[in-house]
Amino acid sequence: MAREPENRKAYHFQLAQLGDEILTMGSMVDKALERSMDALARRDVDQARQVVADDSLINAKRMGVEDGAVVLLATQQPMASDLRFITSVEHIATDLERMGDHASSISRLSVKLCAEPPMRSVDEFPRMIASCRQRLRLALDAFLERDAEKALACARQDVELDQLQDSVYDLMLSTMEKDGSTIVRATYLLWIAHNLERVGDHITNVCERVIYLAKGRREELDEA
Amino acid sequence: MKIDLHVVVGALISLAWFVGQWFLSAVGRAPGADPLPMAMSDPAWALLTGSVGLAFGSFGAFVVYRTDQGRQAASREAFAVSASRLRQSVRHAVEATSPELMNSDAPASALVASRLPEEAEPLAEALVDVARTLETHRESVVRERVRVRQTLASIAEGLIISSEEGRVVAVNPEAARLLDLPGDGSSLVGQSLVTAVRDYEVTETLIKAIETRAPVTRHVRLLPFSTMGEPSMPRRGTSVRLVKVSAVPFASQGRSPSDVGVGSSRRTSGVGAGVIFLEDETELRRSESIRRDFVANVSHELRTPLASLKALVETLEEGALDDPPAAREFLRLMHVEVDSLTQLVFELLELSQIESGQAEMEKRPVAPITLLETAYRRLRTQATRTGIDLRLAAEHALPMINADPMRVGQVLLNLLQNAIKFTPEGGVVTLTASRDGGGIRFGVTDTGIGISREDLTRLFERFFKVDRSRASGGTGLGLAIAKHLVQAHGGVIGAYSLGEGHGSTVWFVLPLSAEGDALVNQKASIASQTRGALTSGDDVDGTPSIAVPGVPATPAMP
Repeated sequence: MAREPENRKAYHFQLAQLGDEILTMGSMVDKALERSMDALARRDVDQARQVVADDSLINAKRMGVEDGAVVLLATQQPMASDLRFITSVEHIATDLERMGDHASSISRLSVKLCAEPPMRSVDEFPRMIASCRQRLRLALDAFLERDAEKALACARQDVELDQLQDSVYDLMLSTMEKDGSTIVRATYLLWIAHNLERVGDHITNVCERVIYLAKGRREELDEA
Repeated sequence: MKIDLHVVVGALISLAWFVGQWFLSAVGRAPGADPLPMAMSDPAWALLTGSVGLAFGSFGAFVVYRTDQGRQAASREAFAVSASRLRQSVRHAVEATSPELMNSDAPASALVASRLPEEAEPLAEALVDVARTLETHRESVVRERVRVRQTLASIAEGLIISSEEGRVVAVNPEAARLLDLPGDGSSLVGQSLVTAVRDYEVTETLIKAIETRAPVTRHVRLLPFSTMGEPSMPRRGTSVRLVKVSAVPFASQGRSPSDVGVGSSRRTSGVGAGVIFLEDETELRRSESIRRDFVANVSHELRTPLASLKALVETLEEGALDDPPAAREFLRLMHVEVDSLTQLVFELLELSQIESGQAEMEKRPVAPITLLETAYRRLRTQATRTGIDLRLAAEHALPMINADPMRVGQVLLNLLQNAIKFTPEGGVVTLTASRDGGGIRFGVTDTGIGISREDLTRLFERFFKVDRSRASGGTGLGLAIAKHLVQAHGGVIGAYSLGEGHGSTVWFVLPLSAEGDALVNQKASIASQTRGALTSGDDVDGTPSIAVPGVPATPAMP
């Protein structure tokens, strides 16, 4: 194989680094989500506050990815698949950052919930968080492998999160009906379920981007 | 161009001629000398002779030069011819050797060398030498690599080595286990560290170490999430691992490509050369927290009776002493508190003895029914007094078990006391024993308050009390002790309940003694003989009468 010229080598290295940055962000979001739910389950206010504080790191990372993408666009004039890659990276970074915001919102609600008396645990939450984390991992794998099939499979799993959210909704309504004193807490829990469901939507967005990256065409997966 | 002797000599001769002529002409022009008998003018003559000399010299030089070139070309040609001949003969030698190679132990180089023409021998030897040296180097490199891999695999800590470019150079199986990497992780060699590890805190530790040029240690919660599982059925909860991550940077050799990272002002990724160690601290932390809980529980249990005692003493001091009936009542209460303290300390000691394996078990063959009857007799009165119907229901002719009757009796008593304590008046507590595989299953079933599903999982923990108000007393150590005693007998213990208000059963299975085993085998073999006799159609002799009640038709094999 012919040796790559030095400037091309640096360019490909920078492209690969952009990809790595997405994976790093993905890991940050994954941990933020897990920690936020762990803090909720254990009523750990300190950990919940930590998740809120750490969200700025995710935001900073996103800025870094955007800068990197812009520099590459400006200096290398990438073509075709490279161009798609760079623009996809920008979008995925935005979605990941939004997922981080949801983790932070969940933690803010946890802090509020910790000030209230304990309530019975919601069985749906562990399943929702597991689904979110599993799908996030799958979406990032699809990104890494430019695998449109995998991305599509991952997007289709969004239904599960929607169903779980609905069942939390029913549960909370009946809880509130039975005991008026739970209204505040049940509302917070509803919001948490909603945040988790939104995380799922952002994962679907990532999947759409991966399909665009792999195939070069856009597919709307929300209605799937 | 080569300056030959001919050229020099020619030039010298012509120079001498020219100088001589110039000298003569100069002399000839002097006054009083005879003019030279020459027709030509002196300078022209000199020029001519000089030119002739120069021409001679040049010609000589040219001839020499041509000859030299011819000789060189000839030798080049000869070399080319001999090289091609050599190549051919080497090829012939190799081709001729190929079939021989299959059936020979001799090294290939020796076989090839033996087929080469004689004149190529020195060259062949040199080539074989070179090949041998290369082979030795290669072997030592391979050996070294295997040794390094074995060393890495044998290290108890997880280990990942990263290159200057931030790629995985090596990863050992422990690191693969901790990070939930596929296989032993060797397939990830060559990948970017970030892609392979997928945990930003681990990679960040290395980045920090490289930035500060010093080792960095962090405690990280790893959240392995294998994507191998069915994606639509997410696992509930992940096996979180608490890991100590230490990163040591390698001394940098020049500018690494990560220095020119993406982004104009900030370096977005600073992964470079270094090594990451991962130490699993999950068990350590768990045992730490168990110890912390234990100390907290013990001090709580000690504090409660001590506080009561202090209050009673103070009341007595403040004047209750002068009221004899009240004082007597207080003294009785103090007695109760001291008893419960003594009981707690006793049970703690016992638990620690059994747990550490120091408690002696005097095992011998015992009939299960004897154990049941002893426990039954001891608690019958207490049960009757609290309005509970205590029943005994055991299978007939149970085989002997190998146990310390004192200790097993203690377990049965403890279970019975619990059952009586948590069963309201009018309830029933049943003591059972039956065959269970290779052992005897004991059970205590009550119609009491029952146990919730969450509590069931924690029932055998130290200090765990279903009744959190602690109104029912007890140390919360009874079932923990029972569990350890049963385990010391090689048995298992468990509990089930249909839910709160539906009663519960605590059971344990103890293995049969050798005699008990033999007895069962004997019965089993007789039973099968009998069946064999019957199915074969032979006349039934005296043996079938042995079909004892209680022995199942199909004997359960131990």
